[in-house]
Amino acid sequence: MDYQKELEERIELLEEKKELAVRMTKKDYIRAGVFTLICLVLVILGAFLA
Amino acid sequence: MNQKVENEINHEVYCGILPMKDTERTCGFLDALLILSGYCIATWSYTQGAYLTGLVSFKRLLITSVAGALLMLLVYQLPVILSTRFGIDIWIWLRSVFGVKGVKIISVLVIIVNFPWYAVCCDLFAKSMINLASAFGVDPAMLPPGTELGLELLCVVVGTALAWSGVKTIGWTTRILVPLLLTVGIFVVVVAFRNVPFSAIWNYAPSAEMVAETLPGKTPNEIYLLALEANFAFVITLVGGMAGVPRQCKSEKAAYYAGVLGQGVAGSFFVIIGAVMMIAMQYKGFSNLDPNELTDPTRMLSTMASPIAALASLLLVAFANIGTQAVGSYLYGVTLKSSFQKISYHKLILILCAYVAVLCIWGGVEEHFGTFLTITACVYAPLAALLFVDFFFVRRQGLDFRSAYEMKGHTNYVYTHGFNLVGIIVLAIGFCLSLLVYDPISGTIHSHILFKLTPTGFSLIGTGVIYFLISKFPPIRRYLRKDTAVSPITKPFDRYRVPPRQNIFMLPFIHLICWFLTAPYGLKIKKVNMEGIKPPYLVLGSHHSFTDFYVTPLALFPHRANYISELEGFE
Repeated sequence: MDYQKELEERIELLEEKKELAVRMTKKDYIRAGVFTLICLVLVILGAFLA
Repeated sequence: MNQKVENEINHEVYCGILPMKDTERTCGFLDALLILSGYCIATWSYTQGAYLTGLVSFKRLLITSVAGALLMLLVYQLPVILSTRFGIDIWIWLRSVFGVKGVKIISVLVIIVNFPWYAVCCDLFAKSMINLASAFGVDPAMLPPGTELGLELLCVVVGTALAWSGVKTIGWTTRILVPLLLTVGIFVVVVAFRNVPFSAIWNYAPSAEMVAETLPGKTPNEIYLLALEANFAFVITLVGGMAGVPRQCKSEKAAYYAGVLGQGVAGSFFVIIGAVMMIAMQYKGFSNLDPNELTDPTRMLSTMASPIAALASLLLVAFANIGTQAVGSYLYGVTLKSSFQKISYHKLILILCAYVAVLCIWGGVEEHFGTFLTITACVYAPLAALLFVDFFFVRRQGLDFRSAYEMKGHTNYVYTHGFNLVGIIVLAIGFCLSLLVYDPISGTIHSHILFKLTPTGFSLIGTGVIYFLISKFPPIRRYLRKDTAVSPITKPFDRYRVPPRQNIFMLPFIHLICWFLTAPYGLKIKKVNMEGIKPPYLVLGSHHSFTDFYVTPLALFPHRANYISELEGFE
């Protein structure tokens, strides 16, 4: 196998910006942010638990 | 393409660093979740649970183990999407952060501080086996000398053997193993709750003496923060190997949530089981036993259920440790491969195997466990912060792949003799930040205000902010972004946005400053034929010097100006 040639081909593919995977959408980022906030609130509330 | 070449390519993709094509992706959300859960579920989860019962109540333990762990994971795991998007390991990206030579040192450092975990894993596996033998009436003292070490080495060797053929074998193993482990976990919880009243576990709180023994002189809230810190430090240990599985996923969301839930839910579930077992065994009057024995499900099940149930649990727990060893060898084998491209994957996992074996033979890891855990947390938090800020804010999700793969003629990530001094210095600062807040060896809190963020949390935020701010300085930005020509920031300005007007409240201040700056030179403005001219209008003026910027506002007053400039001056 010509490693360099194979690598070159794959990098060309990346540079063409061909989508290799399904991207996270803005909605997904917002959802992750909401989950993070919920966890943060729970952690803060935990400080007031006995 | 003949079969041999295809096999070689597959090997370089799955056990190497070639960017993975979309057609080569094998993992969906469930596969990734199972593999990462298999990695996180090990006997050390029980140890973590037992440690936490000595600090906080059961309710606080639930909050810190689940919400605390998820909070940290949801933030630091976000950059794994780069692995899915480009099919590369994070260590390829980190070449831009530390330089092509710097990344080798950092990856080796991360592995040196991470791998004592695996020696602990092997030790717990061996102890679990010996406990079972004693439950079946075999006196541990009668076992031949070196039995424990032999069992530890067996765990290392079998784990490495599973990692030998790559992630596909591990995938199949975890598909069977993880559901069985979760079943055993549920069984353990049921047995504990049948033997001990629900209220005894739910209302559990450690005695004041117990807390004072573990952490003398601390307030309840400081102890809560230390329990939270223990969970932050526990989950952030995955950062070095977090991309090995996500790069094989077909969707960024699947990869991200598999990492978050694998550790934050499956791993935390076993931390809680460890705590439940500890509380149940204490309730049953076994508190005089060694903590490792108290949280050994084999011991608990043979005490509260039957030796047969214990045997079943042992076999699974044993496989869990071996599974962790296998996934760990694979993930860090690929990490090393990212840094040492010319050494084969098989040689690298053998080196890792030898390192764990040496640690097992030395036998001093458990004794220095606290120190090692502290050092790991100090390294991982700044590493995670650098990756996060670099990916989202400095390089804005673009990389010069040719420089990252050190292709001929592409040297953007060589920086200073192969080292990115900015990245390495910020990592060192981040390492010191957590120690500035808390000294884990003496247990001294240096800053009570910053301690509220926890040492790992403060180090993560502090490193990220420092890296972001210094990357804004033009000379440092030019140093960091040598790849701008290849990977330009295409959206520094929103070219479609209507230009905002100058803030009217700033107008008197601007006028005043301009007047002060020009007054010493006796500036006089003569307005000819300007009567009746109202905005909007276009001013075309010659640009003699930078004094123009002070003269123009005075000439236009009380009207406000929008200055037009070429974008190249700012990009």
